[in-house]
Amino acid sequence: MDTLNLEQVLSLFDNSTLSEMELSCPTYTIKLKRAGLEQAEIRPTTQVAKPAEMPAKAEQKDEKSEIITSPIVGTFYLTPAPDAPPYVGVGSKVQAKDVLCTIEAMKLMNQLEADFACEIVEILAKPETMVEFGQPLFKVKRI
Amino acid sequence: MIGSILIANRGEIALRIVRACRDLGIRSVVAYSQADADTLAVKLADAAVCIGPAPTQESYLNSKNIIVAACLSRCDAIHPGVGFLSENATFAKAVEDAGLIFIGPKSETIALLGNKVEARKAALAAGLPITPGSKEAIIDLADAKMSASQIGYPIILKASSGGGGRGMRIVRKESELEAALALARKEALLFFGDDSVHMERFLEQPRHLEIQLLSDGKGTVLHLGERDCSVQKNHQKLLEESPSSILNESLRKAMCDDSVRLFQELGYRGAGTVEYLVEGSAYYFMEVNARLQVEHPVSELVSGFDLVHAQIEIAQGKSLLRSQKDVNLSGYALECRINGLSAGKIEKFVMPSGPHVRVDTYLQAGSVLSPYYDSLIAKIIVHAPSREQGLAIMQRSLSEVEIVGVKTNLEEQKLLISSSPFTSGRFGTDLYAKVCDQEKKHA
Repeated sequence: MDTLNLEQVLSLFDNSTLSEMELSCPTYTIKLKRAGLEQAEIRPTTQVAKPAEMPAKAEQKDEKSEIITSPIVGTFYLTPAPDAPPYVGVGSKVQAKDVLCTIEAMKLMNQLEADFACEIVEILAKPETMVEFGQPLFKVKRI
Repeated sequence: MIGSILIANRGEIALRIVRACRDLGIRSVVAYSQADADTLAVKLADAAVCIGPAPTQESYLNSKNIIVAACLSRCDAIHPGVGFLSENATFAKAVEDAGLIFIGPKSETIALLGNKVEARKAALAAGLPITPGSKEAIIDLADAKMSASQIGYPIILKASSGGGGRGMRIVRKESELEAALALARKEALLFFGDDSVHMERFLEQPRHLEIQLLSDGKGTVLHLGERDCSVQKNHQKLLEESPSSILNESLRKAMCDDSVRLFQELGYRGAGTVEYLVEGSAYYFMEVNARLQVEHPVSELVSGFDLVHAQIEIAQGKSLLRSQKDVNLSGYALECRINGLSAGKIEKFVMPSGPHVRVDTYLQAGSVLSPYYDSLIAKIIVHAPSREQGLAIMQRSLSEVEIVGVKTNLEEQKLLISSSPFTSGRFGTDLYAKVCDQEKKHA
């Protein structure tokens, strides 16, 4: 592209399958994002300042519930494929070794399995966003 | 162009790089362990990602989490800092393969220099003098005995992939060799994941000097003079100064020319250091540190270069645009490392300031000196017209320091700096033992 024509850029983006696009040149930068999608948003540090302490806090509030945290850094997915149904939802009951979610890291889909039989009380991480090590993913109750 | 850098390190060096990013208008993202959530680098960075629990194997050495964090937080480059993964060729390669810029030498260069045996071969090929020693890794005890008798005792065993004094053993007679070899191998395996060791002649009272270099990987290599790092405790540096009190112009020129030639032949890219042992007017190549070093501020003060800025510019493919004659080394700089001798919460923390003083630290009153990591608390660096003035300013600076809550080496450092061997400039790597151990006996 010799000169940056905004109209051209917009139609290019419209006709693409991209959910997000960022284009920089010496004079300006444009960021395009498709409505309704908030992929790859970076969480502000303040929200995740003390992931280690979060499980403990949750346990204090409600003795029966426990927090399952992310064992790696990656992108959090609740579904095995974009159009597939989620592995679990709030209220799902899972057995030990059942898959709870996938965390994508370096093009590998890592399936996170439950260590014990439990019921999903709450999903704490936002699907399709980055999760840090130790970030709470699920609030569960042992069954 | 680099718009965003992930800093894969902690402590004062992570903060040093966050500050460099801020100066250059680059977004900084700090990768941190759970134990470091409350540290200053995490607070001052534009963003931060937790990459693992406190143990380094699972966090600061967890390449996969670090690279994924860099990609997902949309960084263009990773700065490895010092230690941890900074000289890990496999990591550098993985960073390159992920489409990111590794701020450091090319992975092939790191691989070559990371193996001390290969590095010695490269130095020999470039015409650098090396200490008498086995050029190959030791095969077994019989091989070790044969090499040692050829070289002559005392000898030193070194981890081939090592550094920082780990995996080193001095052997003074053949009867000690078997046990020392086993220990050196075990330490080498524990610290570096590779049990190969090699052997060199051990110099009893050498000076440890290093030449700081900047190389753009396009043919321009500049040296920023030497640092004298002879004052050490268990091979860990305590004081670093430039210029060295023992180098005359011809010896300095020979060492700098050799270092520049080695980097040119290696096609080296980035900041790096060539370390030498000097005894009398003879000098021997020891190793290349293919990264930034803790003591880099010493060279920054005498040269006026910002080494982290330079690293980032070189990583972006920029040429150095300067020649050696544009490098003006002026005055005298001395760095004093304040280390913790115990971990814990720091109740009171007063650092020096005033003319000629720079302090690089990441701690404040209320901070915790973590038991998991390196014990470095602060680097106090002074820059003055002469060595005599520099020493006086350092003594003034150390007298202003007050740290309550953890034990430190402050008193030892005061003792070293005011000791007559140090002030006279006539000392070797055994200065610590002579001054501090003597003092303990008297006490």
